[in-house]
Amino acid sequence: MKKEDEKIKELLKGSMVAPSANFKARVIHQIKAEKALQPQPDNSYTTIIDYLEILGIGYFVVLILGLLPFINFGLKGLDNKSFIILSTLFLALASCSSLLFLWKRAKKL
Amino acid sequence: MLSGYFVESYQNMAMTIAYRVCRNRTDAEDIVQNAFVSAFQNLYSFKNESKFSSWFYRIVYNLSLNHVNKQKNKREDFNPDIDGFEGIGISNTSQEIREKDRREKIDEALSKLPRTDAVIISLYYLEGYSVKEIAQIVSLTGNNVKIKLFRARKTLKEVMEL
Repeated sequence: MKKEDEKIKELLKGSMVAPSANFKARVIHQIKAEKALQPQPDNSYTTIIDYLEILGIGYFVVLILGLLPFINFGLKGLDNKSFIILSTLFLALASCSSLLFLWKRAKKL
Repeated sequence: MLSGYFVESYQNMAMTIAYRVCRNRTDAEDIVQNAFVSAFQNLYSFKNESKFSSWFYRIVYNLSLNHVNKQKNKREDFNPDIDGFEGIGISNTSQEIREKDRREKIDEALSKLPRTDAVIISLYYLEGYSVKEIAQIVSLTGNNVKIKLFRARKTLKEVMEL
């Protein structure tokens, strides 16, 4: 039985069917094409998170800036020109960045 | 690229399975191409319960059967593409010509077997798959595979005059 099996195995060795020469390239090309046609995941949620993150960072910086004068001088410490200008500047910067994000997203859509 | 490695590793056996079922080289290439795309799109559904090759050959086998069934439904003539058959590594020396003749004879013998039997015998002897693995690929029980393997072996021996 084993001898017969060996004979059949030997005979069948040549019966393997090979594809044409450009087959591999054809398959890879189709896989890439199908991948490109698949719908892309919706990134809008991530963009809104980014938008809120930028505003959050702005407020966090203002909080840190205000913490030191508040600890040292109380509420009076926050009532000074340089702190108000600095915090307004940071918040304006954060708002501008957020708006820029939203504008970019709207442009993409 | 990973897909290139997979295509190179499995293309010959996949082609052999598809060719044994549909008996047409061009159709077999289309089936295997679709099977590769389908496998890549459904990679997430592959579980490590079986070998990747078994899972992939099962896709090839099922697509080939679907193709044959569609052809039957269309009631088109079914022309075995024996003339277009080329084995691996063929050149023009007299020894190679004799070898080519022998391969064609084997191919003819295999085409006389029922499609599933031809796939089973190829998987068993060419890839060294166990009866259990073959049963998973062709969706049959182990005993059925054993019976088909026995019959295929017998027919092949008769045709090839072993």
